[in-house]
Amino acid sequence: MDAKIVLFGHPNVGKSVLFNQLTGLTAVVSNYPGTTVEVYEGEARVEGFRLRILDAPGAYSLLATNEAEDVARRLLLEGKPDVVVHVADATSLKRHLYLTLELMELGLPLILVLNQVDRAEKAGIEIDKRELERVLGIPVVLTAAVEGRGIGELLKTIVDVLRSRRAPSPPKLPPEVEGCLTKLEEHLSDRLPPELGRFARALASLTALGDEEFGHLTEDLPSELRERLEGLGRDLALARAELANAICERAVVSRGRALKPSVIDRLLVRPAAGLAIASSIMLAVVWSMLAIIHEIAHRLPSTLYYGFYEPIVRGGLDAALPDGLIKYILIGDSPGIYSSLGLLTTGVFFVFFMILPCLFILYLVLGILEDSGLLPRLAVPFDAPLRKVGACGEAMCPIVAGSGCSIVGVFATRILRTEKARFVASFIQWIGVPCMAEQVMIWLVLGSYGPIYVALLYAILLATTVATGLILNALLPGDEEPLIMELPPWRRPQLRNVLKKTMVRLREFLLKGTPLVLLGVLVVNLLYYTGLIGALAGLLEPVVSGLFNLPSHVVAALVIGVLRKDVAVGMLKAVAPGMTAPQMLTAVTVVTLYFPCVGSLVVTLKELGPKRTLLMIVIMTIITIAVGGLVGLLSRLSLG
Amino acid sequence: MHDCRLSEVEGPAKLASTELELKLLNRLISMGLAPGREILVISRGRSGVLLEVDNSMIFVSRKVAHLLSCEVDDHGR
Repeated sequence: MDAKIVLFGHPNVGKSVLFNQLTGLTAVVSNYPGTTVEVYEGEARVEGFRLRILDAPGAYSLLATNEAEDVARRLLLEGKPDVVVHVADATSLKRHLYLTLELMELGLPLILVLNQVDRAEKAGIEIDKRELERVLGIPVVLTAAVEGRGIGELLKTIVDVLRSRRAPSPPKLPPEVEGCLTKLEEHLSDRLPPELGRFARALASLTALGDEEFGHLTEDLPSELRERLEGLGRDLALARAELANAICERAVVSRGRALKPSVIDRLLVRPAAGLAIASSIMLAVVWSMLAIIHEIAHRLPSTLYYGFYEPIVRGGLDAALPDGLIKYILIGDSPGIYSSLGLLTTGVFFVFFMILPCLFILYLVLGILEDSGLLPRLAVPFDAPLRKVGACGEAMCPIVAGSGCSIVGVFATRILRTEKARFVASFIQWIGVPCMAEQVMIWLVLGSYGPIYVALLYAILLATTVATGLILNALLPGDEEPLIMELPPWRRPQLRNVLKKTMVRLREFLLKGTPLVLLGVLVVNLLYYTGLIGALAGLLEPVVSGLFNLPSHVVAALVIGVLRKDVAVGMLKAVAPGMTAPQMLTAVTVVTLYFPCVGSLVVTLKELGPKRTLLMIVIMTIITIAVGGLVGLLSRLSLG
Repeated sequence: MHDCRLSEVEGPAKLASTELELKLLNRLISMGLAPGREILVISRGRSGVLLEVDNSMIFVSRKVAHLLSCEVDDHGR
């Protein structure tokens, strides 16, 4: 028998760890809110049941305040789950019970899982599970998902609930609140579509709290109920909070603290100190990564390539294959990484000897940063500067995620609460945050002229992002939402989880990125083989050579940049080998700014819609012409 | 005991009832910042207030901290 189980709960309570334990899958797990912004699905088989388990994005309430919470809510209202598993943090039950009480109103079979019970025990927090079950009228399971503790009991409880199909009654609220809610529920029952009729009570509560999606159903409310609506919402929220307090007083005994704020935490709220700490940590991390990448992740693979791979593959195929298109496509017509342009030479070198080893290091470091709890802390000192460009502190998590891959970063903007913040945070990733694979290429290609040019590029991108953000903030309409954010506890990153996450991300790159890298190399190869490159270069010469002061063949890299920007940057040396350092700086600037890669474009279209995406492309084009032209002019002047 | 704004508090306090806009009130309560809850201000600065509530750490921007009233015993500020 099939059954659909939804894991629901606050961000960062360990839902994804629990999901991985239940399904044996590897959803990415991190120590910051918003890691899961889409729904992960896995399967578990137990006692004849095939459980389809869904890991919902984190939500504090059914009253959604961002896209991720909306996705989570839809999973309950439209996804027809058989059982809802509310995953809560055992160390802070009072805060989580508010959501339990909301979920009880849905009338769906519900289980309360108190995760991280190991931390609660260490902190001297005792939970009377039986009393909690009695008061709430739902099964309660204690788990420590990281250790795999309580997983068997949870599966057994899910099966028990599936067999009994017992759903909880709504929580008992003060009679006056209850009376008004009942009237509102009756009013909505007649107006809701049949598939939502069973949720009339929960939707009455949401409407009272000001939910916009169902607000239109209250347009013909009797006047006395309409006048009571806002007050009802307030009374309802306060009554639930009081009930959560009362339940905790009966079921939880706390003899200690589970929280240990650090010196960094205390300094974060001071803008200058917070920014200085956050920037220093980030700079130290980037500097160390640069050193590691240069010394290990690039030098060693290059030695392997030139020492073993190239002589065997290139030497072998050169002798075995007759001259012609196939040979040209596979190994090109000249030796050397950048000039060969063959799939098995340049293509293989880019993927396996250049990008992959560097990505391994970068993802490893990103994983450590994520799991330590540092990332969400960046939101606090960066809130004020990011608000000046139309985003907010919470945008730091998507932006840092976007430094890995902008596809992930644009998805992650779902945690932001305003359309304006989502637009700006996505746009910042398009123009100001090259993905890791591109950064690898930037360090290797532009860095070969000297580290100062890499620093200059980052300065140009930062200045462009800040200037564009200031203008966008002034021009774009939209409200500001104040920053209220939960900071996760500091945790020592678990090597196993960091490695697992790194492998998942590398596999993603290999599966999705590699075909595009190879396609990019193939396209450039064919542009040269067919002579089309000459025609294209002639067509765009006024802009590429006239405005940007670049060799006209750079246009080949720009064509490839639509597919993969890392390949485009890597190709710059191949298509225009004689460029000076200032010219290379201009070329990399233009490649980074002029267009998003195709993957990022598709995700942005899906997330922000065609109008906003088109607007972003128009702004990007203007920026590229302005900034590329300016840097090109400076490079022309520097060349005398 | 005396009343003051969260932005002025240092140390332990108790959140008092608030006259916030409904959505903001629900957001705060759903994150654990409900009237009557005991909190501990860990640090405050120009950006806002970092506080502990129910074994969790919450950052509240200065703007919101100005709107929240607290009860503090006469030894606290």
